[in-house]
Amino acid sequence: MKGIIEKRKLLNRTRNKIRKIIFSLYLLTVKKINHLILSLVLLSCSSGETPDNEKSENKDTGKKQNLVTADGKGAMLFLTDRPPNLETPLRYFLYDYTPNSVFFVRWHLSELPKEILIDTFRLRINGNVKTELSLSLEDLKTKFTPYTVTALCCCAGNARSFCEPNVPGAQWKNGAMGNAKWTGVKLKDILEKAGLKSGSVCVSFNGMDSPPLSGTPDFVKSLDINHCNDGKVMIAYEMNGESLPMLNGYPLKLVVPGWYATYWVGMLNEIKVYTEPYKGFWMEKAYLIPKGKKDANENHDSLSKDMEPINKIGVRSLFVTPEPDSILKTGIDYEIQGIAFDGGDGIAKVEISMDGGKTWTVTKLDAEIGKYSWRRWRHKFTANAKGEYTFLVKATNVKGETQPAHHWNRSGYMRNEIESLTVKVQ
Amino acid sequence: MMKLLLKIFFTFFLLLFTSCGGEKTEVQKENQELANINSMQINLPDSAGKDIFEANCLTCHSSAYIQMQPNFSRKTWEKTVEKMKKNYGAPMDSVSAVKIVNYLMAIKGKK
Repeated sequence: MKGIIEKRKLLNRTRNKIRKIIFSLYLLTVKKINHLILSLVLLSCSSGETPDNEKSENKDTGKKQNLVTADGKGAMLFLTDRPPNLETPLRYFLYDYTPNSVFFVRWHLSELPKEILIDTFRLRINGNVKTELSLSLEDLKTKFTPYTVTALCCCAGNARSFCEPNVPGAQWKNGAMGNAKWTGVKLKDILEKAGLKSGSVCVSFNGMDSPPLSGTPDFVKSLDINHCNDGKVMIAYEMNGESLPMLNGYPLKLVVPGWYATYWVGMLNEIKVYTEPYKGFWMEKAYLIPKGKKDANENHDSLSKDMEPINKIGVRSLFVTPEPDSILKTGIDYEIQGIAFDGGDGIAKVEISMDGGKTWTVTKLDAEIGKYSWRRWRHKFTANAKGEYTFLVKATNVKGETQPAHHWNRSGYMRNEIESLTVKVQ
Repeated sequence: MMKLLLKIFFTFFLLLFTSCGGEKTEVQKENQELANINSMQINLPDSAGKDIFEANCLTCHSSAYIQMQPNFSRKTWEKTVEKMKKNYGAPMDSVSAVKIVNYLMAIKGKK
């Protein structure tokens, strides 16, 4: 009897021990998984820093960087509230696809619909066409062949705040751009359905935003008819597999791959075909660049007199990680990482310099996502000595076009000056 | 033993689920602490002409448009105010325009 009790006690003790071991193992796993989730949430997986560091850093910079939120949006850098202009924090560019919740927001006119009744919403196609069309979102989704493209949407004034001397306008840092997978209908398919009449030369695009004053020109952009029929320009009803956020132009946005975002009209509801070039403020007076000047570069002492509408995205590269003023340690392998893009010709190489541009080293490029997408570059860096290190980054496309050492124009458009990054090693 | 394992797996997933929920609430909380652009108060510094600036400029855009700008020369501010009048149809007379430029110079002027 005594023997049996002893055996049971022993068995119980062993069971308890096993339970304890399993329990601690399971706690450890939960901790690990939580940690993983946290690091995913904080987007720090590829930055080479620990999630905890990143978290505290974000909290600090959050206050410094002036983060705000908006309906349907996460924490974004604040530029203006009315009309809304919000910038994507740089760390999100660690992702190949910019999340919709933090995709940059840019509106010119403050009368913006607060909601859109999708059942009554119609996209109208009129002007020099055989049949005027009035299409519902459902029509676009069911009566046309869906088309998807990955393309960079980059504001003409992105990085304007870095211009020297400063120029007035939205003071963007590098976050007035984003890469997304756009799904919708090719513009040429819609124009074909409407049937272009002879003599069509251009098409205008108007959204549901409107000015509060009658004297302010409505925001309307136009494209040449051949461009509209190139099979690349499209009308997107989805970005990254979801409906567009209201502030990114729900329900429809014009997507002009390789061209600056000023043409990517949001809340698009009217397409008009013309027999002569469209003359409107936003094509003739605004968004103009010096004509025939490489990178739209001009000298502030002798401004260009001949101007033309902004168009194709210029070659550019930038640093994503480490962020400016980061503090690194000696003897640790870091990855300097960034993105590069152009107007769709393709990035051939991205080079980095550590001696102020005297010598350049080719970085490693990730696989190309698509012609109109940005492309990621990576470069290993290990500091053997303490001190300050300054890197320069320069992209070259397949046509041999590259970035200028200095860039400026009166409007701060198309900024693509060779970027520098300074980090401290302690 | 099987029962025990089942229990462990059950609680494991339950905890995993609730911990995921916890992360979301944290993010939501972080967003709650941030100002929403629909309810922002931007206060520019007081100086002569602020009332004229407010009366003429804030119909179309908020004060954030000024707040985000670096300091500019009088020439640049004059051009900007002129642009608002000529291109965007801001209905201000030339006296008000001068007062607005003076105000902008006082708060965002480059000497």
